[in-house]
Amino acid sequence: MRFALSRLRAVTVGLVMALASTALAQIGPGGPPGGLTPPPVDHSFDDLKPSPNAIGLGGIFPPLATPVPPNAPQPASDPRDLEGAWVHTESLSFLIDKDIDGMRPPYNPRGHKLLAKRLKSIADSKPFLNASSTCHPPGLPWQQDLNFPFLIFQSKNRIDVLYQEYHGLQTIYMNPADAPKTASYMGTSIGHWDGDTLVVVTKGMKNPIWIDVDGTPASANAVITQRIRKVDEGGWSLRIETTLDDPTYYTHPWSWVRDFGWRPEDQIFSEYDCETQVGDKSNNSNAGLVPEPAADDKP
Amino acid sequence: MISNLRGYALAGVVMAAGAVVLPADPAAAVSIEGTWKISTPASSFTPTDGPIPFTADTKKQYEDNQAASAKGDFSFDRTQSRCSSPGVPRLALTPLPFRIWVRPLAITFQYEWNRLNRTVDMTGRTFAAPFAGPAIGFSEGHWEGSTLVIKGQYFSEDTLIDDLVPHSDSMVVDERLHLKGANTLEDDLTITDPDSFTRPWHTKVTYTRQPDQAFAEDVCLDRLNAGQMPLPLIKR
Repeated sequence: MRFALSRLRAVTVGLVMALASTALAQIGPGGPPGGLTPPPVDHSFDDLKPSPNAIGLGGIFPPLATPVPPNAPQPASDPRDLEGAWVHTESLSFLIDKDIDGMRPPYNPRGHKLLAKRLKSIADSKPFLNASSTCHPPGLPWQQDLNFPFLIFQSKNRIDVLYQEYHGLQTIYMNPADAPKTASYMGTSIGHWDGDTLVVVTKGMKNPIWIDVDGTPASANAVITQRIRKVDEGGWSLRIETTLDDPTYYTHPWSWVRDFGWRPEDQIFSEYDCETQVGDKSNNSNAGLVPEPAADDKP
Repeated sequence: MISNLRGYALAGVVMAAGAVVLPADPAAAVSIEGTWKISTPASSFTPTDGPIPFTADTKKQYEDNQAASAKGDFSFDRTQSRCSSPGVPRLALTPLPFRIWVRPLAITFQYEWNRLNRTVDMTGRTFAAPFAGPAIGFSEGHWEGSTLVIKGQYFSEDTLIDDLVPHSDSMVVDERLHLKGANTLEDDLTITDPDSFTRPWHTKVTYTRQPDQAFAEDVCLDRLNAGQMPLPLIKR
């Protein structure tokens, strides 16, 4: 329901903005003498445009269009049983530049500066190394958002999520006492049920992470809360609302939503063996990427 | 990228077939589900039917690998030098625990070692030969009573069978996994590769059931960069 209301808000905001634009166009540049003066154009976020590669493509991996076979297994009827193979069925956004309400993420000056620097590095054809390019677990939500399948296996006190890409693993501990105390690349995920919604709080990353391809930042101290539920809207999906709480880079927590389609045929993972290239010390395994300057993200 | 395209192509095969074939008796599979660990750690397979029947060329390559390994040169071994997937059948020697998830369409082997996984297709479809095979090849399985029978083929020739033994991309690995008691799992393997061996040869590996617990986040490249061996070296 919250998602629907948020989308309605986004549409409403969009309509209001479109009407305002029309009114300004009728006034004309600069406005008539003695008439209304258009507000100054805000260029303060011009440095936060998605990387050029994303323009016109809608993401590097389009959603899979193949239908699920008619006699394929369906998800369990139990709304608390999330087992199966799921795939992000929306186009991958290189830059998560809209929140759940269609608004710009609430970057603070430090977050704005860091993201702008990363976008400029891409525009300059010298993109920075990141976990993905070094064949390390990229953390959430990048690990989920790529349009490749993941498998959910549920046990009594634990949910194991296996990702095809990066041969990733996320362990969701349903008993907090079982959770490790040490930091890890993927962080520690602790879950509980809120009705039929699985709420997973992930924190304790050993490194800062990129939450998308362009480098929207999250610090190692970030808290990522995901509300996950199974929905049937003419086809089964996992709907995941992600909230990023990270005062290091944002003025307040912000959220977005992604849908992940039911894909039973994708239980057969393809192999992902990035170590073959990255681990080969006889080549320049950085593939043209450069180390990101350390400790250079202060406002 | 090739493997990704292959994944799409495989999905297409399922679509083209228009039907998903379920195993005859999924309930028979439940007993091998669980967490397992090799009972006697080893770097190499021990043949159960005499010495490994090398062809002359493969024997020479094997001896070269032996000599290099003795000198600490593991450039012939992409797992030890790069953390690449050990592939099949070498994953059967994985030193860390692994978990078997039995589901109708697929059986998933989840390895703690470098977070790897391997899925066995239980749908009954057959695979077309790929342009280039992955380290884990393509595995199709079925149940014979309570024995899981797996045929693996279309492997990359860049992997090794174990720490020293090479193979070609013609290799076929037949496996029969069955319980030898509630807490012991045995994998009988048959290696067939006319380009590398003069006849099929056999080996077996035994596993002990482990308590069900979460796997640690193992990142092989971090261990390699810290100067550690990706896999332990256990003398023959």
